[in-house]
Amino acid sequence: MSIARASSKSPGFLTRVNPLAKIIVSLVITGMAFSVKNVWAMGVLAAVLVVLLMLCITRQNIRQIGQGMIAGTIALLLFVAIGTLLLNNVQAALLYGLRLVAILLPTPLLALTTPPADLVRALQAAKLPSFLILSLMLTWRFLPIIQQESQRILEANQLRGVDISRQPQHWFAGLFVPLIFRIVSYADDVTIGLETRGYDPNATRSMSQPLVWQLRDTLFVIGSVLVVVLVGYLDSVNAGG
Amino acid sequence: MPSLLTITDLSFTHIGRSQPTINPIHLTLQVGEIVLIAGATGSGKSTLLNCIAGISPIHTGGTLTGNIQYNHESILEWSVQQRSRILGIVLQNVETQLFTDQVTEELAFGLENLNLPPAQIGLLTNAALQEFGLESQRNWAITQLSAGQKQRLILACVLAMNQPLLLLDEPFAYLDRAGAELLLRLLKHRATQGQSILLVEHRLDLVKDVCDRVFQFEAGHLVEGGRALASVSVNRTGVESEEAIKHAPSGSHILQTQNVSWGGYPAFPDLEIGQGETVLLKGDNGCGKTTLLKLLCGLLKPSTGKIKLFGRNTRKQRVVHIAKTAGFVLQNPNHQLFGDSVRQEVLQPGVTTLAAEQMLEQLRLSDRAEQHPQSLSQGQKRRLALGAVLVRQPQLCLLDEITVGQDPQSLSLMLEVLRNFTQQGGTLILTSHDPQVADCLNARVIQIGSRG
Amino acid sequence: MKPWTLKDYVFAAFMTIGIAVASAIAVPLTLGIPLPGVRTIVWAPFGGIFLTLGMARLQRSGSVALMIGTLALLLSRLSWIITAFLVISLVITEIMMLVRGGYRSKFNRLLGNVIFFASTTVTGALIGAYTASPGLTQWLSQPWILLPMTLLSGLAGAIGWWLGELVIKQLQRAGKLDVDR
Repeated sequence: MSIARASSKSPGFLTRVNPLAKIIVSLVITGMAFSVKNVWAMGVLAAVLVVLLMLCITRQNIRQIGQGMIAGTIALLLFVAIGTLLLNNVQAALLYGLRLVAILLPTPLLALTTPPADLVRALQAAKLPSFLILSLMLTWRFLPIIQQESQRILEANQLRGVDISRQPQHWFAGLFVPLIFRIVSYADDVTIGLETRGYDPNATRSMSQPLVWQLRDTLFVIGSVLVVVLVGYLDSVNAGG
Repeated sequence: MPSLLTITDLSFTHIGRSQPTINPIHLTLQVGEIVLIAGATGSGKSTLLNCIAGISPIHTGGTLTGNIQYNHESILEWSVQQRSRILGIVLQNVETQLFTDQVTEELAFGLENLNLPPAQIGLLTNAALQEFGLESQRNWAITQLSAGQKQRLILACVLAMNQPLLLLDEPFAYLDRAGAELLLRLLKHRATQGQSILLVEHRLDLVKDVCDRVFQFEAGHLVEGGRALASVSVNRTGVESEEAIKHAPSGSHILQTQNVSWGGYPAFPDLEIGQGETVLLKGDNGCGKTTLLKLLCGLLKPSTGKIKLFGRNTRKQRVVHIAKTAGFVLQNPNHQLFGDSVRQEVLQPGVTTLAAEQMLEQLRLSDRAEQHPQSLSQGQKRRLALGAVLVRQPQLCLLDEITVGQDPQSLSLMLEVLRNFTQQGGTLILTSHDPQVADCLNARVIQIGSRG
Repeated sequence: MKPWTLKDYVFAAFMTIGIAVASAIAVPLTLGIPLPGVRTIVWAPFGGIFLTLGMARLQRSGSVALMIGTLALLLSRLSWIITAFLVISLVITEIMMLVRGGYRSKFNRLLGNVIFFASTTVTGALIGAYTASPGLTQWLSQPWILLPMTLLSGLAGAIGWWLGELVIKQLQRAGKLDVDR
């Protein structure tokens, strides 16, 4: 039954769903996972999420998702095994294992179906302050650049004969200090760059692609509500089981 | 014609300097004019641009005197952001002018700052992509773009905002021939539509045909008219010209490469370099010169072929081991300054105080010995990085892009020190796209990649 | 109190990047150790450098909220749990430091670091444990585990602060940190 519902949400579908709706639903599901007490209800919730995850598989990410799922399954089995030993109760261990799945899966799902630009748009629509959104944008843009800079600095250390991975006493003066000077320099230049592009944290800015509510968003929300209701029903019916 | 921008008596002194970088200058810019400011690195042209843009003194500190007027209204009190309403500003550093992670997002960013309605943003974005030949990169991530594409994107973003005045600092730096021609055509077109353009560029020959007026910065003074930049002035005394005889290789080759290739680059020419030789690897941007240097010092391992340094295959050696006899001066000195004073940078374990002092003296950094290395100018940092490498007395010195970011004085000091190094038997391999350097060092020139 | 400028926001964002890079360095070192909270204890000295630097440059109450808030949003891509305990810790830190008036003095920066990293380690460990199973949380909440965890992480935060102050001195010597402009 859940599979039939899930198949109406193809990966392309999920990617195009309103990002704000996705964020709210993922928060609700994560929160719900903490309160469900019945192992069958939890199982349904976890299963829906796993199926959605599998539907996100594309040729580009099949290896990553595949490896992740294999690692996750092994970890889950280990967890349940250890839990059974510690608690002397298979069902409880299984419940906690599935609960872990239900808590941890919504975010990778969100990340796989929501590019950073969409996330920024969602936060703008949620009326978060523009400087916070700017900070997030800058972090995404410059985190890889700063990582590259630290790589260059590590190489420069090797070039002067210091094998920094084996000599932690050099970490401070050899890596952190030069890196921080680079970061401070970038921060100054980026501030200037933003100003030359007319950015003002206090001024009103328009949105080039405002979020528009569409039919698929309604379908998504209805589907999510149905899942939540089903899980809640199973939980209450089997309370204590 | 009405004067759009009027600069009167503008003078600027950087913090901590006694002499002004720009001596009082007068300049006007009319509607629809293209004006070129040329000059050597460090001559003051970027400083002038920064003053007009509002970056100096607000962000850099320093003292500014004189007046800058737009339509006869003084803009001295305006912030950079306020000036960006009338000035489209494109700076040299390509990385720090891109803020989003996707091409269309970036184009939209500036237009969103102007609070334009979404429909208009869409139209302007499409027009910009067309104008700058970026249609096929529309959905690309910024990280996928080459330096030249990034530069075109920034120009597209700024030009889409359509301010009456444009300030462009070295906009041709990363553009290939096609990109440069595109930009020149575009600038001419924009000028006929009434935009005024102030261009800073040291490649005079490239742009002088489109410019209405040309100015040259010489030691802080703005002079009308331009000529090809003075060639690298290196002191050549009579004594030195005797020693200008090329050092004959001592017979044994300290470096041999065979059939080396890496990544997407075409196979590199085989090298055989003897002790005491100076070799210049010449080639255009992106041909792989830096990659070759990295292969030689072991930072990268070759995909094919082998490299023998001092008779041993580098593939099996660790970089830290190779670094004992080979030094590498990186293009960006900020990656290899580790001390908390200039003196400490050269006073490394195993180096005598005398040797350190002598090195600082040769590099004209003695009077800054107590300063923090990061407080130096780019040229001084580069010299210091060179000093830190040579003071360890390596047998081989690799140097990446010796001319980049160097004012003529700094460059000649470095060449002086390098000549001493080779005269004492050191082997030098350097890269540069400026062939004049080869003459100063009597280097054998090896072409990397195809010509032109 | 000076109003927040664009320069402040951008600086804070780059400090967030620094903290994130610091975790990229620190976390792989501890992947083998299964103790709850140990990851945050190892991260604290590195992350603390950037937190201290941000505090010194921004000085006002809200500095930690800005730097860690961005980090919390960034790490929401990994898990809402991480976002949750980071937000809780930053709220605890900011409320306690509001009383002390911000981060202008060295002692306040020390206090801010200790409070933040101690609360991150403890809330992170407790919430992480609760995610695994409520029973684990109870076990962790025993004073003989909780107390050393709090002390160790506070100490780690103090080390981060001390290293951060060293960096501040260097930046000031090089003229790169206009702390009092």
